[in-house]
Amino acid sequence: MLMMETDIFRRSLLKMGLALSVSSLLVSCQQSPTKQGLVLSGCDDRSGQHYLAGVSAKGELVFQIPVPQRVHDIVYLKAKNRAVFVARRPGNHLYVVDLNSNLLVETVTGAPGRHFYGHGVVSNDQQWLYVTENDFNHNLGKVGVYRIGDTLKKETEFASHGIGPHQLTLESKGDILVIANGGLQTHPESGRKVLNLDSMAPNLSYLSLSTGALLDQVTPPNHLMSIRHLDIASNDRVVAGIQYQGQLTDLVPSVLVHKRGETARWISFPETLQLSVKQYIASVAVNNDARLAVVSCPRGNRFVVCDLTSHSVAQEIPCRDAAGLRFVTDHWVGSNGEGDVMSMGAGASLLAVKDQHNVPLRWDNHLTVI
Amino acid sequence: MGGALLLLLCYGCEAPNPSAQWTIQVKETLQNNYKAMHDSSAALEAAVKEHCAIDAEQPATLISAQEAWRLTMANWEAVQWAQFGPILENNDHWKIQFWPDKKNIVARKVTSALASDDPITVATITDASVVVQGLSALELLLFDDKFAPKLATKEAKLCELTVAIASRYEQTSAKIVAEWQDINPANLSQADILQSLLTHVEKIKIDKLGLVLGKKTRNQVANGYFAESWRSKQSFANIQANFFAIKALLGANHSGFGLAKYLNALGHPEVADALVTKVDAILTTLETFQQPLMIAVKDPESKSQVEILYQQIEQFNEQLRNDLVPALGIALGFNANDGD
Repeated sequence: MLMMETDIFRRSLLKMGLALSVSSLLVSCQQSPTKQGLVLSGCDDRSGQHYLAGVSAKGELVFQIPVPQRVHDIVYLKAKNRAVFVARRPGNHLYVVDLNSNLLVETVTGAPGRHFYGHGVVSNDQQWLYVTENDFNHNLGKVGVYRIGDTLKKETEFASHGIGPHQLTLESKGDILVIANGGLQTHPESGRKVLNLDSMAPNLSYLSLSTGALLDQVTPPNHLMSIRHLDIASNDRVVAGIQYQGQLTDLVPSVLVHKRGETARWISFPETLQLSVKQYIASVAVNNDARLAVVSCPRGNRFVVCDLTSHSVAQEIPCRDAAGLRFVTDHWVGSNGEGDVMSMGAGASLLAVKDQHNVPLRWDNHLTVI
Repeated sequence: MGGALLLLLCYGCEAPNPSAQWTIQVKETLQNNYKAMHDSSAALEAAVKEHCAIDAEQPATLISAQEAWRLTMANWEAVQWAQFGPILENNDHWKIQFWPDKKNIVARKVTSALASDDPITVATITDASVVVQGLSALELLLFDDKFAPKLATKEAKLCELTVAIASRYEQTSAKIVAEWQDINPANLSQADILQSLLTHVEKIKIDKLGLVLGKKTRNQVANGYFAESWRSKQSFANIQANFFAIKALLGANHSGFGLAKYLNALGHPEVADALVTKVDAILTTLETFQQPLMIAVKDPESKSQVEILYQQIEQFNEQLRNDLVPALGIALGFNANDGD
């Protein structure tokens, strides 16, 4: 009986594109159910309509709200039990969903001359929302500061210390913002086209929230290495994923590991893996003790597990169009563009929304678990 | 009435499931194609070894080894579309073929491998960069003006390297065949199959033709050196092999349960018919070329014919996306193509 269940489980894993043949299996997908709550993510249907969606731990769609702009990441406002879905460039909407009623309760339109980059973070006291923005008339990266009340109200903004700020997070004390300035200049008039390949200057910046001062900054060894997505462990170690804008065959590091005040470490993938992921890291999720980080590689159709002690790749988990990732307590929750949501980690389970062949949903690059 | 219905239902239960039948067909087709790829890789290894073994009195010709390379290249082109299974898990794609290679890395790596004083064995190549492990490095050695004449005269180092790479390529393809045999068709995802096909056709359009036509450059000037297999002048033959494989996948001309039959079973015969018609049109256009792609794009008349081919492939791509995907009812990912 047990064997049969294992076999069924293995088959379902294979169906989802997860191969368990890797010998150094550090992250395993197991059968016991997870305790995690709602998974929030943007998604598209087959016709390209954009939605905000929430999926229960059992894999049931709790809400699916159509919206005009494609969203990217989601910030959970715990005190309000609301979720802010942030439009990606060149979108200028923030969609606020009330998770008691599962209704869209507010759509914030960005200020004139600004668009969002799809990412935000909430302050530790739950009073403020920080969102990366583009001042596209002056080509300056900004962090918009929104007061969280019954509605979201932009109070001020400050420099992100780079062009094309993307994902941002807070150190554990909540007083220092960590921002991935991707370095890519775009303008809504030319859509998503990159205008400054020759002069790109990406960086990872640490800003004091009280003074706005730049406390530390990491610049990559190659100016085409766009630092785009990041996560931070409880010990304030930051892991960031690189999207290299040069040739597919150039061998450059794919992952940055850094703690403020320390020397940056770069993780290079083995040659075959690097070529397979096509210079593109999407989501990053690090565990609490900063021992392991999982990154998603949609163009390489896999998740890659990085060992942050040896600064090397520990495991690859094949998964078509691998997308969202979040570390939750003791496991990772991942999604893909074919409609799957899954758990990865010791004691965690595979969480299927439904059979991937039947669900007409395509999960976008990021997810949040509450 | 009730009995008739029951009979009908039971008949339905026993009938083979078209979806499963098609997946089984894909598995078998690929299995045969991988087998052909491996057989021809073994033949290439043998041809290179034979060329290098025969004493220097023999005429300095590489023809049989070159022909063996052409065959195994065509066999690779027939499976190039499939981005799932062992090829994906082992990251074998770049190992088999290092392309596009805009910076001419293959030539650089081969040159530095030849500069080594140590003997070059298959073990050396296995530990070396993937750049020198597959068909692209072999093409350079067998066809490039700088290397092929030396290989033709059986220069020791050239022979050593070519034999080692050919052996390595034989090993890589043997491993794929072995691993592919263990694949249970029930575990093949139709979304994987479809996504692979879409990505492949896009790649033919953008990389194999668009790059050569200068579509990505500011001045739109054609550059023949961006063509796949320009050294062996096999660029059009490669695309031909790609579309013969796609036609086989559609199953228009064999007795198995191809995509056309599956679409028929789903009530969309018109989608299959339109795809087959377009593939035939593409193959017809491909037959009109008298010169290699890198030359064809230099002449305004033949370049316009390449543009027509480009447009046909673009239309085929649209048909796949707009007609085939909905007909099969499969949700495809989009992060790989349009992420942030």
